[in-house]
Amino acid sequence: MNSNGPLMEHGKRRVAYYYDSNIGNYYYGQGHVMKPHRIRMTHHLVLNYGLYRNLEIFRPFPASFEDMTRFHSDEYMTFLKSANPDNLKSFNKQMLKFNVGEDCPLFDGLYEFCQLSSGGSLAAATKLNKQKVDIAINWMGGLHHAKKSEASGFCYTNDIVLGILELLKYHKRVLYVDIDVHHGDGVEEAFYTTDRVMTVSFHKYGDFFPGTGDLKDIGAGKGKLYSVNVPLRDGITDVSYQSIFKPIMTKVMERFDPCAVVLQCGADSLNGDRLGPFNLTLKGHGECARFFRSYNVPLMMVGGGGYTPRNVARCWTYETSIAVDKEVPNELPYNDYFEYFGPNYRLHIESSNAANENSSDMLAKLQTDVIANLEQLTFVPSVQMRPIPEDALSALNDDSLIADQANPDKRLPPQITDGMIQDDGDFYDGEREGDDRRNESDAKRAAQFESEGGEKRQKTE
Amino acid sequence: MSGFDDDDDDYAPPPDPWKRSIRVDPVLFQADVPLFNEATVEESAREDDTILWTIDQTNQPSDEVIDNYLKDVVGLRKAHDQPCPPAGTESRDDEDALCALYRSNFDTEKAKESFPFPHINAPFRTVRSDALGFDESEAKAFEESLELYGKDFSLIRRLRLPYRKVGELIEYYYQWKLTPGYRVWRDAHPQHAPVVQPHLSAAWHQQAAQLEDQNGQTGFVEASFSEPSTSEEPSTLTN
Repeated sequence: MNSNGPLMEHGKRRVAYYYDSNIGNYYYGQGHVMKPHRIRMTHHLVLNYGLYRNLEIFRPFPASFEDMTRFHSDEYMTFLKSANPDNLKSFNKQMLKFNVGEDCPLFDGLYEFCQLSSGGSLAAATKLNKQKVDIAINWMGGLHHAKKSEASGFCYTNDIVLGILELLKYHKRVLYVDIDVHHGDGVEEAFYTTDRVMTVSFHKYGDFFPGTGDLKDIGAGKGKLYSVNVPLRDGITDVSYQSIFKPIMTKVMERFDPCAVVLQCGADSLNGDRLGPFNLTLKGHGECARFFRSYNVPLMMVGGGGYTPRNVARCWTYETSIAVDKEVPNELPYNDYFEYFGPNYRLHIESSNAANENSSDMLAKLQTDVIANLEQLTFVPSVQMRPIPEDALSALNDDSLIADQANPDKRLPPQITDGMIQDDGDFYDGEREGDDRRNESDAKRAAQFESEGGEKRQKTE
Repeated sequence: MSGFDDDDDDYAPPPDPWKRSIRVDPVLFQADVPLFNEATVEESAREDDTILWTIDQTNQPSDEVIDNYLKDVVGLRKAHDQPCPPAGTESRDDEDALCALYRSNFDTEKAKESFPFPHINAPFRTVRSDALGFDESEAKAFEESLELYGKDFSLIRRLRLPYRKVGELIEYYYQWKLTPGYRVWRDAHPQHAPVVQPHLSAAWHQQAAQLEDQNGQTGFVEASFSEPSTSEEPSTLTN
């Protein structure tokens, strides 16, 4: 295996950390839950815990227009570069086209903000490519909803996709793992048809933004089976989360054998988040970072969601300490934003007594289904191929081939349809989520679209 | 089989309205994945990042040496009337001091000679390099503006503090929230609802521009904008 398996002891890792002090001085607007200031709060905790001296600190060069158009369309990037709050009127049509205005407001310095976020992830990927460090951290990044020509879910440019494209120059296979409470749809969409990037997302699913991330979404074309979705319900705890995260990710590491890993550490999956309904603590969230640190594979860690700033800062500071393998005390050190962490001034947060709607049976079934898909993956070339045992071959028949190649406009023959099992809908019910601006505006937009008689774009494969 | 049965076979429940699909079109939606060729890996053309601190495996001083150096730096800061961390926190990492140490090849004496240290990770894009702290009149103007316009820092800059960058106002806001002055202000405005309900409509910004023309750049704007009222809860100025 490329990754040489997990290291049994904590090895020394060289860790690069990317930060630009401008990042905290951008503001999405009054009442908006996304606050870039949380990254400055994180940085001050990292400094005052004395973690800074164990890192290699860089101020990244801002991403250029050319850097960002390696994924994003020229037209979209030109719009982001040209539009500002003072000339809004002349961009009305484009704002609609590129989904800028409500959840993704046009704020002062937006293009610079995108340059910093994307620049950090590009720099981190480049540093890993040059084998100068083992782990590269960019808490300014992780904006996983942005699409090729569209802003979405508070994200304008997809720094993760840009970073992965950079990693792909030197690494045959890149694994992307997303532990944000929202599905990592922008990254999944970007790499939906390739087998060189596997995307794995653990997220809340069911009447929740962005509405993608069904268990059955597994990729298309060459990328079939290379998109993995783990749809979860409200109230998941550390124990439940790890009971499904570790077996699935162990299998992914074994079957996909990545040459590099990108971990999106969205902190909105923590208990107490303003938008997220999960019940994780820093320990459960950080365990995901610890899992990948135990493998001898280049690792890029990026930020993402997180709408209770004091907990975001706590989380990413803790995960920085995991990266450098330094234990930090629970008492928070004095720092420029110390008062924000009251009333207890502790690093770790408690879980709540919210109901965990993820039963052990549901998680077991989910794990079985995901692992069954992973088992279908062709072993990577570096792993010796084994012949399929004869008893397994006899179980195969041509029905699946007939179904795959059938004309979609004609009914399948009864001998095939009779054998089909209706989905039991285990993971598809969800309750209405309050206080999620993204859900509400999404639903409003969809309703408005349909009332205007708009036709939905057909999904083409 | 009857026609009714046929219809029944074809029936599928409508998809949930919240569900979305991943779109597939290599031109419109997918990334252009580079071909991998081990023999000819592409060199990155990116400019180098600014190194602020690095771990020198051969030359780096111990934690104890760094702690003593940082304590000495606190003494230097006190002697030059520079802001200092509270007592007992002197050995916390100091960006500028550590960068000076790195640039002095980890020679603590040489690093101290370079004091006062430049602010190496200064927010030079969002804050002017010559920007000073807010004086009393600016602080008062800022608080009055918050009351009137809410946290629309672009508008506050345009109408009340035009010589400040928006980033300076945002930075000041987060620092101000930690002061006794903020607590006094908050207690005086328990149900603070800005006169202006910020709105991202072009018409609203146009109206702001017109008011600016009428009142002059630094003029205090008494009038409220005729925005339709929203159902939004009054701001409580949480971070």
